[in-house]
Amino acid sequence: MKVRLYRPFDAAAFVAVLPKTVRAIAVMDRTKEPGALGEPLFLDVVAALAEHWATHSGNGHMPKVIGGRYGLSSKEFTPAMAAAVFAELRKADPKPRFTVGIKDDVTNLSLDYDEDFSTEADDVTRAVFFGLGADGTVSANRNSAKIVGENTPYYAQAYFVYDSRKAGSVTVSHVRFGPRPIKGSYLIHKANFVACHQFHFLERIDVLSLAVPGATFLLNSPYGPDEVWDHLPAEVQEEIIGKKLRFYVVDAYRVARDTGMGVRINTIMQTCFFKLANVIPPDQAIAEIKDAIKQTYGKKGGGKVVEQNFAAVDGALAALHEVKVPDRVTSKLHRVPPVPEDAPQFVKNVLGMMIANRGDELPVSALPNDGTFPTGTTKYEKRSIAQDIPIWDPNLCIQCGLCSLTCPHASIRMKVYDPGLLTGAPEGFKSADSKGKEFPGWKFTLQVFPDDCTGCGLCVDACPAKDKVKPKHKAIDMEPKLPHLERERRHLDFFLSIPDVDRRQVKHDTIKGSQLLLPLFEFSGACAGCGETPYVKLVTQLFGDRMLIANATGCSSIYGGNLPCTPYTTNAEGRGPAWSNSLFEDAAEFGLGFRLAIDLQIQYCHELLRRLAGQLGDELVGRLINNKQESEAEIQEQRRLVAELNQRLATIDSPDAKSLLASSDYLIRKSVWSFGGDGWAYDIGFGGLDHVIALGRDVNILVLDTEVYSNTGGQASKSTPRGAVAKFAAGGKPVRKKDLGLIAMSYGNVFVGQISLGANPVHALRTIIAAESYRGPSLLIALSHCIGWGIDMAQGMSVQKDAVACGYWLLYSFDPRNEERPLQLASKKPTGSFKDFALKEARWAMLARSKPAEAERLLALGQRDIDERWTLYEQLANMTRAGVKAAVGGDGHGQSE
Amino acid sequence: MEKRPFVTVDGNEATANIAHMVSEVMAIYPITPSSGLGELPDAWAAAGRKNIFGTVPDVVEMQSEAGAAGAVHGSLQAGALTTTFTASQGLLLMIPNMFKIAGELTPTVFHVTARTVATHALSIFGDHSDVMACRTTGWAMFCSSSVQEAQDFALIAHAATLESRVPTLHFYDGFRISHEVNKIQLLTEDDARAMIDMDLVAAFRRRAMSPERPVLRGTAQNPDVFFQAREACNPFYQACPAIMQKYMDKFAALTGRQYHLFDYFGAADAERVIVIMGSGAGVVEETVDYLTARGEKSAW
Repeated sequence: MKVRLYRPFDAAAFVAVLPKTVRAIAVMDRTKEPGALGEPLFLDVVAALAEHWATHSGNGHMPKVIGGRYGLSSKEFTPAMAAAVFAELRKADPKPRFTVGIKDDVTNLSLDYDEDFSTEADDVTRAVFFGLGADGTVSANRNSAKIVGENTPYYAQAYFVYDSRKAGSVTVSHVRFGPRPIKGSYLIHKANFVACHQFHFLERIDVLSLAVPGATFLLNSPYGPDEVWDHLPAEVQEEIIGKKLRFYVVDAYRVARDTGMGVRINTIMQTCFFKLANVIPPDQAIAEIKDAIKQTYGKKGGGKVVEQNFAAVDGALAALHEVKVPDRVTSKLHRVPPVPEDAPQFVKNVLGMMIANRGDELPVSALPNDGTFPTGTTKYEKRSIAQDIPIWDPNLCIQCGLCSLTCPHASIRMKVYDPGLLTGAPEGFKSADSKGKEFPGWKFTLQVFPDDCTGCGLCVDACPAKDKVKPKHKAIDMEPKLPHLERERRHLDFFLSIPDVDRRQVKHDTIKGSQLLLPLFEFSGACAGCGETPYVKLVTQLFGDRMLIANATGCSSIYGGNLPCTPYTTNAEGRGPAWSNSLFEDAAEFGLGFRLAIDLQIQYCHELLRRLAGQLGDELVGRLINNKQESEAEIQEQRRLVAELNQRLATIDSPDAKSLLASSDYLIRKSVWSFGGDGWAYDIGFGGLDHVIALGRDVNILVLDTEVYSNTGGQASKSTPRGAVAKFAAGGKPVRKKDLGLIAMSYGNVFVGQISLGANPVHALRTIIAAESYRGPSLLIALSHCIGWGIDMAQGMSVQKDAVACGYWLLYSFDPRNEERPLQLASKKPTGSFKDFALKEARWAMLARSKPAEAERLLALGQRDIDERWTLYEQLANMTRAGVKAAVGGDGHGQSE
Repeated sequence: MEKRPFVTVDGNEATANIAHMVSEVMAIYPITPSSGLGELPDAWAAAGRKNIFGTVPDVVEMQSEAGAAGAVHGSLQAGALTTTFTASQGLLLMIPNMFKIAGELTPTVFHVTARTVATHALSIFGDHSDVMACRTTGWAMFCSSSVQEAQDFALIAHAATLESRVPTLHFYDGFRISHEVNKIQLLTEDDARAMIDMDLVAAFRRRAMSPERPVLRGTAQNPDVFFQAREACNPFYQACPAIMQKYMDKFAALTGRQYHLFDYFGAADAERVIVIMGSGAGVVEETVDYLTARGEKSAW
């Protein structure tokens, strides 16, 4: 029975459609209410029936009613599961409450179901396509569904499954074509056509598990029909033979190259699908594809693009070959386990299953019951998605650290070390003498992480060390990965075995020094070339071993905390950022909560220390309470003191000693951070952010300002600049960007920094350090380039430079501790025009194309915004606080501890 | 053992007194009729009154109930025993965080003076429309129906949630209980110490987020595992009622006042029963007494 009108619930109408013969009912709820007797629809049905039967006593027994949960978080709900529910209802003693679609081995509520149960009709084409996020597979399939749906009497259904990584994500398209309307909204589990658009998926994903015997398998392969067999993992060969698959290959990337299509393989793969699947006559399908191409590109690109696409279609047919399948498995290659054998148990048994697309098989007991996960797990997932990686030339390198600083994925790093440690280095391991005075006689190595690099190229763009003879050659160059891969892997293993330098020996406020600190944020799923993650990584290098992060929902929470693997990690002592996401709107308040708890616990520890001073000794107690913990050395000393305290506490048998032992960690100075984007800080979370900075507590807020809602696909925020086109601002944003920093400065006791790693990395670094050291609220607004801008992401840091040069983005810090001139500008007087800067980015250029007059007007206003702001800030920076100190009697700035 | 004096206070003061004793952080925001719940601890903290742990609770006013809930969530995650007080639209603003606090099996108590949610008109007065809007959040819902019970249940709730790890919404009727002055037997700090199990407090601290032993919470999960993970909390809900009863029994041993998950009053052979929670319960009890004295078989 389908419920159409849920509320108001018409009990009489409900009972009226129920056949008199019904003896058992299962009510399915797609929600969960822990603690309730049942889910809402179930309770309403029980109440409706109970009331009816109470007043119509002649009806015999009331039907038995059981309640089940299904499909939470888009969990699959299939005919097999529906059949299992009917089977349960047939039992004399069915489970009164159940779940279906999972394996619940904790409370045993789940129903077993027969995975082979299928209601799919033979005359329905069921095709599954594995593609890469950016390779056009999804759009091609959307188009295929339209071609069949709108040009033939056939019915079509297409559904797309994405993972949430932003770089190198896998998409799976599930497409059905059939002569009757397609009712079942569930994924294809019995495919008669499987296409794999990326050859390298075969070594990681079991793409053929969905294929039925006799299905067709289409593979985009750089190897031709005669040689491909030997390049397949044995598991794939086995499935092809065992299921008697018809196996075809096409070298789609070659066809794309040859026809001027670049790396766009979607049309080629689509053509092959129609040729093989025979949903409609291939000739008709191909004519429709060409027609669609004409409609898509005919207007914009004119003849050439259309011709290239036509050539790709024709080339696809010529390059499509059936592979003669041998009768036995011959391959020495094997599918790579999702994580290395030596990974921790949880990573292997739980996260590894998720990486291998087998998370659905995990039972309830495998998963944490309160959402707590280990950090530091991205290092086990070697995604190896880069085509090109940076290769280091030690002779040319000036060891500035900019490449490491700008790397969004922490996949190029540097170390300095005693030359003695080079003993046992693998052949060819690169090193240079350490430049500068800090580490005389030591060696320096810059190492790429070849399987973690995304190949974005930001590091090469940042590298200032050019060869005088060959200016195109820099101290790092992007080169094709494959020839370097094995060697770089060996070098990396050795590099990792070299100990990190003592943090006390390094100048944290120099680029090079900061880059010798271990990043505690690595290999995230952020976009290649992401402008946000270099800031995140830098902050973890500086404070990660004592920091807590309250992360607003958005890009930074997705690349920061999206399962299966998490990029926040720990150092050799097991310390690292403790991270949590509450909501989109409350990261400032959530972070404040961390601070309140920590300060209270410090108060508690001090209270207990004083109570126990007799047993612990006044000296230790005094040192623990009075250590300011401002320098790295003082913080390390405090850790030592706490370890000593814990040892002594373990020998004292008293409730206070036990309580202090549970809380003594709080005695080590914590660094509390809220992270989020501009959508959070300027819009949904602004009220909270404003309140938190007004409270004067020691919290640090990092706004990763991409000037657009990046995670939801590029909608305008109040940070979006005037004239820029964004979703919900399709005509160009008419008003100027909100000046968040100026608002925050108005309190007078808030540290405010506006920074850009691309434009002035030293200023950014020092401002971050100053903000953190301030024992009051700090707000850092960090310019973060984004794919939403429509720029070449490899040049993101250079774009930031231009943004600062023309005055579009101001660099400054407002430090309340500076009694004379708290506001210090780091920007120089703007040079160049805003328009020249803006039109290099699609967000403004789009409007110039679609509405030139309006763009002209908005860009002129944009220039005025810049000029006005510069004048204002110049005046503010010249103002002194003379007299303030006397007036308020000392500490005029914010609350500190 | 300190003597338990009899005092004449309103429901909010009776409750706030307990909240102050057993909390370390209170993130608050004013809303009628719960404002007094926050005002008193704020004044007590300003005067240096300590909780049973020897610290002065930190009482922080936020910019909204949404902000208060965010700060409470953060404070709980970082290991402080934390509470808040609210009602009506304020409680609705806390719902997003309440889902997360429950999903993370975090012990806490929110004290709610149950108040009408504004519909065709605003009303500052009492009914259960606000707390009933929280049924889906996964919180235990614990209703006291007199000034005495407001105090007693407050302490039972704070003690039990530490063991059950199910956060608890302790509510009583706005105005009718929150602002009713009645003579009650006051609980002492010794009572609070006797009820709060310090081993459970230590266990709560050990689960707190710390860079010394970092973990990650608040992940984003996909269809492959979300459902399974959501079912993993079931045992805590199955155990929760017995734990609540255990602490009611512990409280009874301490004070002589015995409460149960469901308390039945009236004739053992009753034929007509009223089921009710909240301040109306006292009304029915009084009526049942009256009617049974006249031979009617009613119960409450």
